[in-house]
Amino acid sequence: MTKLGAPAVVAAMALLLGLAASPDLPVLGWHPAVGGVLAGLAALFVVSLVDRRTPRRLVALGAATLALALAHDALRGERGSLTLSEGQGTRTFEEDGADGRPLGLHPLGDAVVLEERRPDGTVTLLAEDAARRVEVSPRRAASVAGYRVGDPRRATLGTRLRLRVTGGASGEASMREGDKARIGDLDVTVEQYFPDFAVENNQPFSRSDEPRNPAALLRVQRGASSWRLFVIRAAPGIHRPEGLDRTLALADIVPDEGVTLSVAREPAALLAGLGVLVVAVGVAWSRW
Amino acid sequence: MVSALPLLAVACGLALSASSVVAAVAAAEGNRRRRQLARTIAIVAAVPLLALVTRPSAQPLVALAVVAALGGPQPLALALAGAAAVLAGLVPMAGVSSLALVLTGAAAALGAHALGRSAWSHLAAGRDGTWTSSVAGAGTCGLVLAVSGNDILRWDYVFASTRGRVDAGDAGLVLALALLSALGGALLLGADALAATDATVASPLARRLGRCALLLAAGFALIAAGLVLRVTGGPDGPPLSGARHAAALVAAAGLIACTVPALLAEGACGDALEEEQQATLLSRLVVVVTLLAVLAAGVEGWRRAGTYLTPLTQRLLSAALVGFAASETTRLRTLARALTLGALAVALLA
Repeated sequence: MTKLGAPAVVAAMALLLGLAASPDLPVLGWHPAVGGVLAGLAALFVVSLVDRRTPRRLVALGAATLALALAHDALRGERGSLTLSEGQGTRTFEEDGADGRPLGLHPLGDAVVLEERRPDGTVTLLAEDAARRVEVSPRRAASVAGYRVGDPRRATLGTRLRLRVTGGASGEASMREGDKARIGDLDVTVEQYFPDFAVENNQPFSRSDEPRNPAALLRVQRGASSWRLFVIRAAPGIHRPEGLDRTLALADIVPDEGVTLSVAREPAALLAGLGVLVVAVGVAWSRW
Repeated sequence: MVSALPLLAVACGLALSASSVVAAVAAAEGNRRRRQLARTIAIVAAVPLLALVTRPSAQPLVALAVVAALGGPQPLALALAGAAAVLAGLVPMAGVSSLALVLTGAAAALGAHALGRSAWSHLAAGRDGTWTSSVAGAGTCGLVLAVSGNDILRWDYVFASTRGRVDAGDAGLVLALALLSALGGALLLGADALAATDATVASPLARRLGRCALLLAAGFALIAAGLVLRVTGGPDGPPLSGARHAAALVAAAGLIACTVPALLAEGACGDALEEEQQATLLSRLVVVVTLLAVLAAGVEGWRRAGTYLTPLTQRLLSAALVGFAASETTRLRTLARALTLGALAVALLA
């Protein structure tokens, strides 16, 4: 106990814990056992601080509170992110572990829908079955579906295709791969998107992921009739299946932009703050 | 008025650096009037910086410069205050106010005072200042390398920004000369310190050459700062990385300038015990202020990002723990205080 409380030992433990706390040295990711070692070191550090002086006890109490709060939030807290495009909803988020590793999908307390995204980065979310509107901005997080949601940042979710129908009931729609929409009097489904379209042995394929020659395979329906056709941005209306009296064209491709939000539930946040405050009071009270 | 502010801040930064040199000379000579002069220059140079508090991104740097100036004529703290003032004037105007970062700036200033006093207590105890100057030279090498990267090997300085890539051979040449001078000075003084056994000075020639090389490096670093500003500055001022490069070079020059006067003096003046006691007191204060910054960062993180465990909170917690180690230990105190200052600088600039 005396040796544990020696200034050099206390300083060495504080230094090691300080290095481990830095996000620039991700020691928790080095080995699964590191977390346990650090927890043990934190416990030893707290024990080493306990002595007969009141300020020192206060520092030990604060450090213990802070360590317990951090450990609780590392083990029982939940944090991660969710990515949504406008109009999209979800009941889950991508959870990350304490070491930053993705843990998979985790359920939210309620469905969340991204209603609106503004140029200044503020987003409006619909929660509690669309009964409550919540604004989340880069400067202000909010409590949604039992979690703190904040830090909205732009995210590219893929590519949107702007399809145009002419030659009769004309119209235009912006669609993702797999989407189905009504354009004019046609029901159009984007079956497959080819960013860099090419054909080899009569088989269409994409030479790369770069949008050098964007094209798409569509399924078009009108009443009982159905057609499959290719639209290529560089050659509008090149493919006109028999019986289809409309011209379909891939007018343009645009990035499908959405928003990624940080999601966190840290039940011991208040306790951690209290711990830091008590340590500060203890250090300030120490012999100067 | 708005466009004059950066210029004013740079001028204040240079004045703070000058006050650091005056403070270092005064401390080496034990001249109270010069110490008072250094203090007056520092406070007069820090006051105009308060005009920058309307810029959120400049607030932590202004806090650092003002607290360092008010804390007394401590050469290291004033040298860093000079660099902070230059950076405060050049950082982009946009940003979000953060009490946590302002407290971090104040803690960094107190940390610089603690480190400076700790180093000075070694000199006042009769130890030679060769090591201190050698470390300052090594620090300058590190800062010059951080600014120039690998391009210095081609005697070039390349600056890449959103406006494009700019090659500046003249800045590269001066940076390389600064690096070579600082390296030469650090090695000569380090070798002299290692060779010294009974006699304080092993080789007066090596000592004189090392000192000259370091002074040359300080001059080159200042010239390089000007050239870097010319290269990186556009109509709206330099981008953040360019501003940081210039401030790092001002810090490098200040670092050397505040350690060399101790080499010129016959023996450092001052009470070693009093300096160390002051340093210990300041170390505790650094921990308290850093813990308050941790608290503020946690609250800000919870309100803004939804989590209290933001990278800033973690960096500050790390700095508080390292600072606690520095206030506890009786061995390697100066090194621990330098680590604390480094951790606070990372939290402030990351």
